[in-house]
Amino acid sequence: MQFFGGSEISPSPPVPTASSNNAHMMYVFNRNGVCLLYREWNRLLHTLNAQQDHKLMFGLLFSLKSLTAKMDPTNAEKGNLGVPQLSGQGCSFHSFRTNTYKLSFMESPSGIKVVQWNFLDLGHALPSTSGIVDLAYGGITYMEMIFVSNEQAVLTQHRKECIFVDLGSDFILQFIVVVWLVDLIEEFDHIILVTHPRTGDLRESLKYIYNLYVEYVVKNPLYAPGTPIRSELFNTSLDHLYSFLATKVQSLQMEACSSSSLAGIQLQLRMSCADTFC
Amino acid sequence: MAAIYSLYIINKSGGLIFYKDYGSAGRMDTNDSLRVASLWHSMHAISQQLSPTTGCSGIELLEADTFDLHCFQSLTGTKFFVVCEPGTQHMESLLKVIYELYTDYVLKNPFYEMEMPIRCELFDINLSQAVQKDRVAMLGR
Repeated sequence: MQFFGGSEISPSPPVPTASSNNAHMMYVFNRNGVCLLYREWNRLLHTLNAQQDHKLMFGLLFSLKSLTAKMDPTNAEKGNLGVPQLSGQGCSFHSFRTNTYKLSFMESPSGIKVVQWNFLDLGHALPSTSGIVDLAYGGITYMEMIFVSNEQAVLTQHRKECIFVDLGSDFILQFIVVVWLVDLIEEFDHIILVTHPRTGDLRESLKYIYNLYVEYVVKNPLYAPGTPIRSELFNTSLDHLYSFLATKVQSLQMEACSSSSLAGIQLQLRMSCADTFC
Repeated sequence: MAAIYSLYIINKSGGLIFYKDYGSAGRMDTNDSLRVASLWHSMHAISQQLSPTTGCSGIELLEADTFDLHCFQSLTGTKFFVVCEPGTQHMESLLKVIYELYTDYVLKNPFYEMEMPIRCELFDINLSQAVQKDRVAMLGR
């Protein structure tokens, strides 16, 4: 299971820069293949109309996912080709590259919210935490608590109330409360980015977009799950992210041209990454 | 030889003409490898259609959770692809070497019929040498 940490979103705009020729596209699909959001920046070529393009994209991802699940060389028990699989089940993929573009893909078991606290004393941490959780999320009906101690991890499942788990005298350093919002539990979303082929690993950006999606779309009371996304805040933060990614590619190209002060540019990139993602 | 899991060669119409497994945990049977090969052929074609710019020649590298898939398409449409450990280096040059072996030992073989499965002993021998791990590492130098 994956946890997507860093729930606070601060859409501090990374410095938008001058225009570039890099095409970027972004798709968000729900698990039924409905395209919730499509954005494009500088796309030059449209071979198909929008609807067919979305269908083809979802079909490609769906088939590639079953292909990778079947091909997985580390697992002997794979079942037949094309068996439907849940999110997180089987071997999936995170990106592919051609000579003209790179596609990054993330699949989220959406609706999972990771809340993390650090407490020194378990004794009064538990009751107070359950209070916080109930206060913040009135509609919770399903909760899962994972306790992580130095030596052992205990998983318990609750309905509406917390159960005190005695771990002995061993001190609990940290625990994570995973809250599943019930009306979203069945929704799996796919987020796809299409970028310049020289872009690096975009998994962090995808997680960032996912966080934006949770903050601006899922938490929007007027948004009905499964319908196309029309959120101005979400769109503007995506524009900011795009300009950030475009500058990243530009500096990569500059790096390739001049091939000087590699370390300096890397450091810069890391700093700007920290700005955006933290 | 843990670095490379398997090698596939598919002809221009998507039929599998060569499949070799180098010790992956889940070895595929003949039917499955044929299906996977033709599925890859169509995925490769679709990825060209979805390109935001002109001149796209299909997927070159697919990064999955447990493996990388490197694909090389020759001018005639024959596709070579290797499945290897994530982050394995020099796979493009290995594919070029395999393509060379294919032209030398398969296409120049007078008994080989085009687009049909490859059964050439010399090709097998030279291929197993090329795929050996230290040879692959030497390609990078």
